[in-house]
Amino acid sequence: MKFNRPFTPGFIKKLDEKLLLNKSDSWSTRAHMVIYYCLLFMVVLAGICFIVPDDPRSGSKEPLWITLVCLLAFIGFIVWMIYLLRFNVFKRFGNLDQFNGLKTFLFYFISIVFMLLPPLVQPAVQSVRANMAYTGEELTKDMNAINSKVLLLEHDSIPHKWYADTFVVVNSLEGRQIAMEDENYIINSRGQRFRKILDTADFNRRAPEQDSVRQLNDSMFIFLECPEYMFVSNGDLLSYYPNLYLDSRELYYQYVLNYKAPEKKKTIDELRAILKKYNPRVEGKFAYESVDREWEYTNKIESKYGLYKVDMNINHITSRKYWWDGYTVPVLSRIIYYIALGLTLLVIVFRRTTVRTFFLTLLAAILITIITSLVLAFSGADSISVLILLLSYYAAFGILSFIMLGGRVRNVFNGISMNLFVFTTAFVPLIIVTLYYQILRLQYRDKPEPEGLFDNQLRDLLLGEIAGFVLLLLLMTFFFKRLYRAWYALPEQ
Amino acid sequence: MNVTGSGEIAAHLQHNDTSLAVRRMLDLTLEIGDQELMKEAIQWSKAFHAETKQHPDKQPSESFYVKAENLLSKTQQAEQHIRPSDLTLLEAQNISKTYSKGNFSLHPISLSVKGGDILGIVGENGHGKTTLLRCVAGQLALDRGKLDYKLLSNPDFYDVRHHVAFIPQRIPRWYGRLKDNLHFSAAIYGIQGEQNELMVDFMLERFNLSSYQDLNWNQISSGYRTRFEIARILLQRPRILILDEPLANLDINAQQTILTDFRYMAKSVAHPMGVLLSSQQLHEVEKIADSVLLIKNGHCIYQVKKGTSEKQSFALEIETTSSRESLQQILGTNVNIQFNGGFYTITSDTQAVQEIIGLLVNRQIPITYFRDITYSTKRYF
Repeated sequence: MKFNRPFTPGFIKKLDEKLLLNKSDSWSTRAHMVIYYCLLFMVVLAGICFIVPDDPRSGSKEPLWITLVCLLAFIGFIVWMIYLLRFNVFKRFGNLDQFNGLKTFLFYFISIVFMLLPPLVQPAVQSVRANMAYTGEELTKDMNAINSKVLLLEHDSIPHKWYADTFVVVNSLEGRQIAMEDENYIINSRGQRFRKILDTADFNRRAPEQDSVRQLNDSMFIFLECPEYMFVSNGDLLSYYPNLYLDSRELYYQYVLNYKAPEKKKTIDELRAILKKYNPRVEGKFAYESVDREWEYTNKIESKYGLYKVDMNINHITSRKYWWDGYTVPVLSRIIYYIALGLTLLVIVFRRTTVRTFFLTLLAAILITIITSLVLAFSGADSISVLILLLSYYAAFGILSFIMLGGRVRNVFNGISMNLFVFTTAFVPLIIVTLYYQILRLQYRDKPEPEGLFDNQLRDLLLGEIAGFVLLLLLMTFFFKRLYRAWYALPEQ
Repeated sequence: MNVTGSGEIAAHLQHNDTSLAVRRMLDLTLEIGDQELMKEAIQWSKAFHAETKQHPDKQPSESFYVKAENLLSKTQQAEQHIRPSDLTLLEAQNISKTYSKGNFSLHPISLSVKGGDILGIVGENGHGKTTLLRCVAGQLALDRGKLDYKLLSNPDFYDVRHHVAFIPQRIPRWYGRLKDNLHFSAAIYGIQGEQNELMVDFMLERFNLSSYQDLNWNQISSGYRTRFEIARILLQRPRILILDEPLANLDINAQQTILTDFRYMAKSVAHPMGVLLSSQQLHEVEKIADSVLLIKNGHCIYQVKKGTSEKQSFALEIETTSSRESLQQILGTNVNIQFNGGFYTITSDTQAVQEIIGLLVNRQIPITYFRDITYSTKRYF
């Protein structure tokens, strides 16, 4: 078999040949080629990202990389489309096995997921490079050293008096209204607007955030807050190394309460060495040269020691190191999932209906959205009405599609309903879960809600998303294939 | 494919009709269904084509005939097991169609196609040939009437479209390498693995397309596109094959070859097909069709089965430089002569065609072309 594709090893050629001769429906999706070329591209891209000079202390170029690779991935998608349109088992009325619908859907979906992965290569490589260059423990210790040495050097110029604010705590249910009244606001010790009466719920929320809380009597408390000693700080390190990371309070207890005047030259040399690690351009003079006299002491110190740049560079390092942590992976997974799902469904619809019906489906979807938005806007409908309307649309598309099964002539309206029915299926369980919680919120709008009522909302929404995908796969296997098969083969008028 | 057997092939070889002998040998091995024999025949055919490409004016070498003898002896043993079948494949009863837009109607037509039958559909442009074929192929909804695909029980439309192969006049473009398209078509109709490779090689050789297999659609002429499309469709082993103007893109030699091939394919004993084809090449179609259906303004005005039609009058068309008056003078008043600009149509209730020709030849009338159209639909045009 002649095979002229570049960079294709023998085993891929063999696989391609085997699939063409034995599994033509799988072969026609070109998923094997997409996966191979995506992996190859990612390896090459990773190599390039490793080779290109990139200092982890500098600001990341990931937006540029991601944009560039997204454009390349889009070109890849277009090339895939060109190859995909060449061979279509369905439109040739070939043999379709029971799982053809499921297989085709999954191959398209996996192919698109693979095409969406290369933009993440550069962030992955920069994370690896940052992790190789700096450990989190090292960064935390360096930050502690910078803060402590600056604190020792500037001990006499820093105010060490703690901020203290007294207030009264009242019961949430009875006192909330009083607490919110304007006359109960005062200016606190830091010059901020502050409520002198707190309800119990607010108190319970804010107390753990304070450096210290003192109780004067049954209802009177003092919030105590340590002065700021963290001249460089980092939220990521604080959350990953809470026991190692010294916050202002700990710095106070270790270096202010037990203050011993440092050996100045040695301390400055040590400090300079650490600062140079994060900002090679740092100078050793450490003088208040261009400092505004009105500035807070923290600003003055940051300016004197060039800490702003050091702080920023450490943040660059940690943002690279911990790029994948927190919400990044769940958010990225959802972005990839929904893009892949949307594109897969578009490809499925395009491959299984006529070109005219496909474009009319897009037009119908846009028109339905516009008309629905206008109706909802003018009628002032709430979110529950919107969700019920969406479910009604789904039911209507489903009924029209079912009617089509008994049809004798291929009808474009049935085709549009069928496409929209297929397209919206994955979202139905999610809409139902959202509707359930909206109804709950409505029920407890004017009365206290039972504790923990909404605790599982995020979990249930995730379950709704998973259920939508499973439902789509099931219907793709047992129903949608039959639907499209019946519709596309119908004679024309 | 139609097997008159190894005797026929031996006769072709004896008279040096080598190209036809090779095609028929391939057909025979397909009929027998022995894969080893097919491979041998394919190799033999490839060697033959390579040789004729190198020396187009020379007779094949001795080894060609030796190999032919060898193949013939093997096929003679195997062809004993081939048993013919004669099944009705399709019955259409009073099918009619009116387009919702436009004013054309196809009026009720009934037809029946058996395995091995070729039904030629003739008529002028825009009179309903394509509409009839598309109705039969399940592409157009019927207004009235019934189509019965005898081999399918309770079929849905997908089954019908799977069962009936349709080659439109304008063949949709193929994408990618031509051979890949053939592999793909065979595979989606259940021919897989080694058998797929064998069948694709077979079809390429059968239609003498092997040297074009690695090209793409833009690199071949419209005649070759038609041949590739036919090869592709035949790989699907359809029981009913519908072709709309298949001769339109072919040169005169290719038309003859393809029509002969259709006849052989339809008459295959192991895989008989019902073939419906429309064409403007009236005489060529009549030559191979078992029955002919003439459509005019959406009406079936003439449907005849070969050898069963009764003549209404003798009819002949001739091309000559002589005038109508001189012809009339020679043939007398018993004949009717019509001139349509190109040639004369002569009809007579009493004088047979041979008699008329004899009279004209004896009187030294210069005849450049003549055809007996007594049993032809041509007389209705």
